[in-house]
Amino acid sequence: MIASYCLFGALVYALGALYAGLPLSGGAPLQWHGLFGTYFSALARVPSQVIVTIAGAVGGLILAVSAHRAWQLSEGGAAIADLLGARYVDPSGCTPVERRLLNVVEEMSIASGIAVPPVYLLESEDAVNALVAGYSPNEAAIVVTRGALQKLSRDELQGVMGHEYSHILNGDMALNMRVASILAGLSWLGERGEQLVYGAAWANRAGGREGGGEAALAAVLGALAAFVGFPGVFAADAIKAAISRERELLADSASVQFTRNPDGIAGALDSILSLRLHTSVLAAHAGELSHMFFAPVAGRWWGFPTHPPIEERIRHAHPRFQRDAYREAQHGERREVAVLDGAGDVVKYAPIDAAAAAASLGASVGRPSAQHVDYAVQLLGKLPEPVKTALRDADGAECLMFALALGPETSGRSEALALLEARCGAASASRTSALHAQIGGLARNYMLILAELAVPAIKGRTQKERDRFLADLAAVVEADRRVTLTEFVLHTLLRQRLREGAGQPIPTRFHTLAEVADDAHLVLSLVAFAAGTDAQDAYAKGAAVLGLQSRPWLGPQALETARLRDALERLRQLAPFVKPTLLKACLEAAAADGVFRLAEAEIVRMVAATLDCPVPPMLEAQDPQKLVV
Amino acid sequence: MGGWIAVAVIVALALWAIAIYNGLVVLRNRYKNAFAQIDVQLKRRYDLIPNLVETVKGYMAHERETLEAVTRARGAAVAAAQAASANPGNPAAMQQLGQAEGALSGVLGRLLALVESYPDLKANQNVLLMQEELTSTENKVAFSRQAYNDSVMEYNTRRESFPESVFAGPFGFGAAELLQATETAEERRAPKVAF
Repeated sequence: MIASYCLFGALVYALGALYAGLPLSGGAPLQWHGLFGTYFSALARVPSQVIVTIAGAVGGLILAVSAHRAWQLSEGGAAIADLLGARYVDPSGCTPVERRLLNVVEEMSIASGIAVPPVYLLESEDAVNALVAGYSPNEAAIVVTRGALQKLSRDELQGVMGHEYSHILNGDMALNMRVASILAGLSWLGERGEQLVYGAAWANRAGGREGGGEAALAAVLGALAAFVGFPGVFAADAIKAAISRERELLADSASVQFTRNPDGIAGALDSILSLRLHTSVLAAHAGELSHMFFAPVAGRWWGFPTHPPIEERIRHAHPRFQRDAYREAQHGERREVAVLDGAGDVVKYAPIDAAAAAASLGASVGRPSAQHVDYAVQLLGKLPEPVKTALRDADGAECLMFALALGPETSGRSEALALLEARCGAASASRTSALHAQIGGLARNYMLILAELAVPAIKGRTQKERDRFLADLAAVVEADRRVTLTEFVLHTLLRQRLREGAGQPIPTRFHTLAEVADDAHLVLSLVAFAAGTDAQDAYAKGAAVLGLQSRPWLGPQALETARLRDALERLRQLAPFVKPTLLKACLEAAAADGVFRLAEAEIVRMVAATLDCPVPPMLEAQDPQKLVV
Repeated sequence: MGGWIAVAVIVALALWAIAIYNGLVVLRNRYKNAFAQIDVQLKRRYDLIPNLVETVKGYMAHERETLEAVTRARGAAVAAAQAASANPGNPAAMQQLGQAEGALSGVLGRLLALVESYPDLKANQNVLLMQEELTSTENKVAFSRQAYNDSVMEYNTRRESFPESVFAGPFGFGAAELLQATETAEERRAPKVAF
């Protein structure tokens, strides 16, 4: 470390000697053109006083920073909490989740027989992480991120706290504190440099061009400091990793000892993996304390892991951990659900209202549920590789949609493919044909989910291209001169998702159902039609919700695609608070005979898409795979 | 010279014996404290129950039977605790306390299961808080028992291993008893699951 600073200092001095004529040992002045060749000899000629001075200064700096940090941390755990900017959780005035955390901490205190430590919360951290700090068991402080509080179940939180208590009891905590203060000096220059660079980058992004000069200067200085300080950061990371790794495994095992529940710690670790929660704490100084956290904070590119891989930790803490069974049992307790895009990446986490899971079919309109998202995940897992690849780019997604539109019937397929070749080129036609063969068995049941998965990729295109795609799709659908209900649903759904202004608020033109009674009547008749033989009954059930009992069910001859399209278009412009009633009527009609058929589910989803009301909670009974075709 | 060596050896042996003695004292006090902690947690539970019953009473009018059972079990447990503290060490009183506690745990478990089945109740913030408190209290009772048993195990292990085993007897460190699972009539019954 000191050597690196000296080397750099000597280099600077040598350059200085070149330009300003600083004294060098051994007569002749340095020559610029010979510098590369004589680099080491130039360094060797730098007077030893200079080297000693630099070494002394750097050593002094390291000692000073370490001493300062040691003095800062001498107050114990609370000082670490302050350093990270955590807020003290006051037992007398806290929210229910905080109460739960405090209770869990008290329970672990009882189990391990040490005083209850004060608890601090990292309010703005979305990550799942925690640490414990302090010099002696009875003045420790626990710091927990808000993410850990909200995303882990009670038992999982207990497991994490058990892990932290092991650090208290086994003396890791005091060791970690000392390591933190000693290494603070070592990594100080490099980390300040990084901070300057990041700070400049942020300022640049936030403030536009003003102060660009200052930001640039800060960035250059920061980069220089980061470069010179790099060996220190590198060494500090290596030392932290060496100290931390084994201790983490020990703490995981001790957590099991305290909680007597291996599912707690293993479940918490598994949640981080399965729910794709992240553990990176962004607070300043979090990197310095990376060896104290429950899970890795942030990796640098050279990546000395401060923690063993999560899979290894799960295996170590609970060798017989059954992930699938655990996830199944946890389902009801999940508070958040990952929303995935077409490529299977997490787009965002949506909170699930606890009541939504228990609510009945109709009442859950508008809230996505865990199960719904899981279908998409399950499906993605089952898809053949070419289909998965296709979902990732717009061309592939479009071809997949054409393949869906081709349908299972063989008559008219060659005409449709010929038409496609004429409109979109031979490449599209052959890819469509290949994809059609791939999705054969899957296509019918999962058609709409596949369509929803394809939407994000196609959305990346310009509106003009999207309109052309919709026209092409319509042409493929109509190639065989007849539009099946399934094809109609597919086309309508995609049109709603990809049309101009999709995803934006729809202007309200109609304020009551009475104004669009004709249209509602028609759409409800369509839903009832899908119910098959019980159409009359189904219609009556739905009509009761809308107050349309006086009108009879319209037979299949009235259900023309053009009329339906117009009716849906008008219903789309209904006031937002009336739409759920309409959707509820459709659900009632669809579920009238107690069986939710695939065709019914598809139509309801299409209506929901048209109205711009998500109807996700296709709960247990509505897994498309289990539906009656 | 030889005399000095003998003195030094004797002093070292004495220091060693003192260290062993002190170590045993630390462990003995630890398990005694752990035992006292169980009482603290049980007391907390008695205090919590009337509040809980008050909170859920309005919503569970037709579950009066269960609520009354909870109140009765609490009364019995409090009485048993008083009897036990009046004459500590009396095996009959201790056994009665254990049974009363067991019965209380049983009915509280039933109450928690009932709360689960009332969607209205589960949506009520107060009930949720009480449920959390109750879960936590039950956990704390269990963990304090566990901590007691852990510290007893540590103490007994130290007491029985060499060289402590040589001194434990003469110094008056008797074996400590582990808490056994309380097998009351309530607990022996197979758990009934009904939805």
